[in-house]
Amino acid sequence: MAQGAHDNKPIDSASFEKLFQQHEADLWRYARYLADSQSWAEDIYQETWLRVARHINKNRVIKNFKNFLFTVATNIYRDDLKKRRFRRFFLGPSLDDEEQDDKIWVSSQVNENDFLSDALDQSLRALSARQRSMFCLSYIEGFKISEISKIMNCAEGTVKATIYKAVQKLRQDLKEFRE
Amino acid sequence: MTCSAIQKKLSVFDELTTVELEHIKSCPECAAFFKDVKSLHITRKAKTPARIKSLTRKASLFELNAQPERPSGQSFFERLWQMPQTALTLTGFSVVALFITILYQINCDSSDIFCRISAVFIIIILVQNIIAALCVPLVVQHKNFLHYK
Repeated sequence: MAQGAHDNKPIDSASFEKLFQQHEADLWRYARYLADSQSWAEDIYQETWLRVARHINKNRVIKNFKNFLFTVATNIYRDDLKKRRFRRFFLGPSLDDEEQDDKIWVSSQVNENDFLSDALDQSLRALSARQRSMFCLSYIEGFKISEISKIMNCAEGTVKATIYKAVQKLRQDLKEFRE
Repeated sequence: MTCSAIQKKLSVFDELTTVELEHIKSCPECAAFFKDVKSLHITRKAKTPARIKSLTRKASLFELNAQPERPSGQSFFERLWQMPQTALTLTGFSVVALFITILYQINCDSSDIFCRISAVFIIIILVQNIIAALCVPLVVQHKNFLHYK
């Protein structure tokens, strides 16, 4: 059995179920911030959990379950992004690309009158894929810079610079909301 | 001390020194940046759609408890066949074979049986390429249509 989380106990069905309940909402939120449409987010969410389960089934070691989960999700998102760019180049935009009606999904779930949240969601969409994922990992999911650098497989300096640029872009986009 | 260095630290939640904290209090630009960074920090709850959550949970548990595949000769060849490297190698071999055949065709005696076989080989490849050139746009269009459906 695979070793999991921090306690180095093997991950069986019961402990996997526990980890699933513990992290699934975070993963869903992350997937929804990354993906441009609900169906894409669902794909990322499902594929991530399936890959993690297959990984555990192969008796491979997982040192930090949450980091591993988000690393898998980020890799799936990157791969999907490449495939979608390639497909768009050869076949043109698909239905998924045109599915924009649920873009500001989070804010509408939280508070319908929260214009700042709507604007923030839209500004987040305007960031590059790399900036968006790093910003979400840091500001929404609360990962440390060292953890993000491992998840994104890049240097800590790159993470810091990317997040700084993302924050500057967001500040620029949202300056009208400043008091 | 530059404001941009402090703002970079603020944006990635780096620990600030006492001097830097004093600077933020006295500098309106850094104070505004500090305020913005705080307001950008989002902690929202998200609820996964029940259908997706339940399906994913079941499928993951199934994968978790699935018997690991025993390596067999057939599965080895299946994996080998699906590897992108295999496709690339086969493409390389076919291109080399085609060139060798063409070179052989140029230099061989036309009464030779191998010369005739190589000519047939080249004709097959030519016909195959013509069919591909005609069909691929149709297939792509059809797939595009299916994608939109």
